[in-house]
Amino acid sequence: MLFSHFAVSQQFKSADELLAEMTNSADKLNYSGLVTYEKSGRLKSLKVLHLARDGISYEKIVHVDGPKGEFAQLRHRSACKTGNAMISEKDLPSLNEDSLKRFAGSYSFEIRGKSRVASRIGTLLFIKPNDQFRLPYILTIDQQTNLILKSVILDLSGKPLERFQFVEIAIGGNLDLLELPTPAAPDNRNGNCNRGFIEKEQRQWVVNWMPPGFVMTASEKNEASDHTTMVFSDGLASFSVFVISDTKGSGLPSFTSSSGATTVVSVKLNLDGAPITVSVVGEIPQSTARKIAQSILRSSEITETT
Amino acid sequence: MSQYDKQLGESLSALMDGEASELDTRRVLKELSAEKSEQAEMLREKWRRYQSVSAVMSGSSISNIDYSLAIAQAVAKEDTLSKSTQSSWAQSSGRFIIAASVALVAIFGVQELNQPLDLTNQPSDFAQIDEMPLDSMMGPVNQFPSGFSVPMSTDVQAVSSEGYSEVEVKAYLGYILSKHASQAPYARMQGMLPYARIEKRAPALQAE
Repeated sequence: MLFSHFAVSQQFKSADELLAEMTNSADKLNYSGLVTYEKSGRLKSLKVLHLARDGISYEKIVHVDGPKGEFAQLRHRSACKTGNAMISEKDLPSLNEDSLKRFAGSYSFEIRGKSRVASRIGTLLFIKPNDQFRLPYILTIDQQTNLILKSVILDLSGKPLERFQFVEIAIGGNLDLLELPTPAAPDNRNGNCNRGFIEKEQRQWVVNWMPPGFVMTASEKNEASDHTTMVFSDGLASFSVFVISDTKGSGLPSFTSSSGATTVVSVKLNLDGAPITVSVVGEIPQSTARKIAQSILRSSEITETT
Repeated sequence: MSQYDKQLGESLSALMDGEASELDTRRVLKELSAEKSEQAEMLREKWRRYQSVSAVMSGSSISNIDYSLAIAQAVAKEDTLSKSTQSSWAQSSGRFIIAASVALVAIFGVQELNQPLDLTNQPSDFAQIDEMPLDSMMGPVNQFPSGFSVPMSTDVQAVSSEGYSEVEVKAYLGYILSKHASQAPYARMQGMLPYARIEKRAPALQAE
């Protein structure tokens, strides 16, 4: 009954609704399956498990080919109630109305019929950026549950950069009955839950240009190394900016690199005689990354903080 | 051939095989850093030969570019950095990455630049994978996904030739890629997808 409701309603949903539900599903559903991830002619396979109970989610990924790897973590959404650890709930870019509006303003959406993935029927959604600053996506969203079954990121000419796809998936059912592993204690090792954002007045660097729609979702500064990290998202794509004061000569050259949809542009800038290295990493076109990197300013140079 | 030359040769060979001790690595890098010495020239020549042989064996293209001097220079610079009381990324997160992976990267760095991406996953790349109990990898929300990093084999397309080391660039690249990948999942909409980009375990990164 519930499923048929999903199936019927998906046809009439606006992009906002569909995306909100997609996000919700990714977060709340219990699912496990086999996934392939393909980029640059390389294919790898992974087992994934996602369980969610009362504000705690458990995620586990096991690499089943290539180098052995296993990654599991429990996320406590309320681990730091007052603070904003790197990913506390209020910083999540894709969960509130504002961010969905922003997101919907940056991309156009087109439903391109049905597609079958992992023995399930999904809706094929083409997400096309409204500018040249971000990458197009083709998603297959499960008709019953709104979970992403397949995601292809394309470059600006429409060539696939990477593909993520379930080949087998179980959603709900017995997984809903599984108990979560015992939660680890909330992270208070540093006694500091506030390290997710640098206070505004302490921000040393400002990203003076970025495509419209992106907002900062996290920032952090390593005092010892004078190394600042800022993360931005438009709800779908994200990029990280790393700034290093180069006065001590960190010895890094300018370089560009790409791996699947992820691009890296690292440039050396000279701000008033003080050299810095700025690196931008993200699932964005290289030209965008370069423009962002070159826009970095010292916050003291900006009269009005953006 | 002197005893020292012989030792050097053995150290280089060990380095090429990924079996170099810290002493071996230091010995080779020290010699390489002496730009005009006979030993350095001999070593570089040997290095090139070994690389050509291994490139031919793995069916990839042969690089004529010599990075050994650049690596040696950068490592020399790295030493200075370590002694300085000032800090930089290389001294905090970067340094131990470099220390732990210097031998591995020195080899892969030289080999990989001219290889297509799909040829870079040589078995020896996986040699350092270790086992780790699941418990120790479970963490609170803001934890770096410990033990995973983007592989060193990531295709660096344009490294400027200003005498910087492949070692530093690769280590830094690995660091920023994995840091980005560990934060991207929290854009949530894509669920666990960004985790798939995090490739393999890199014990060196766990020292952070």
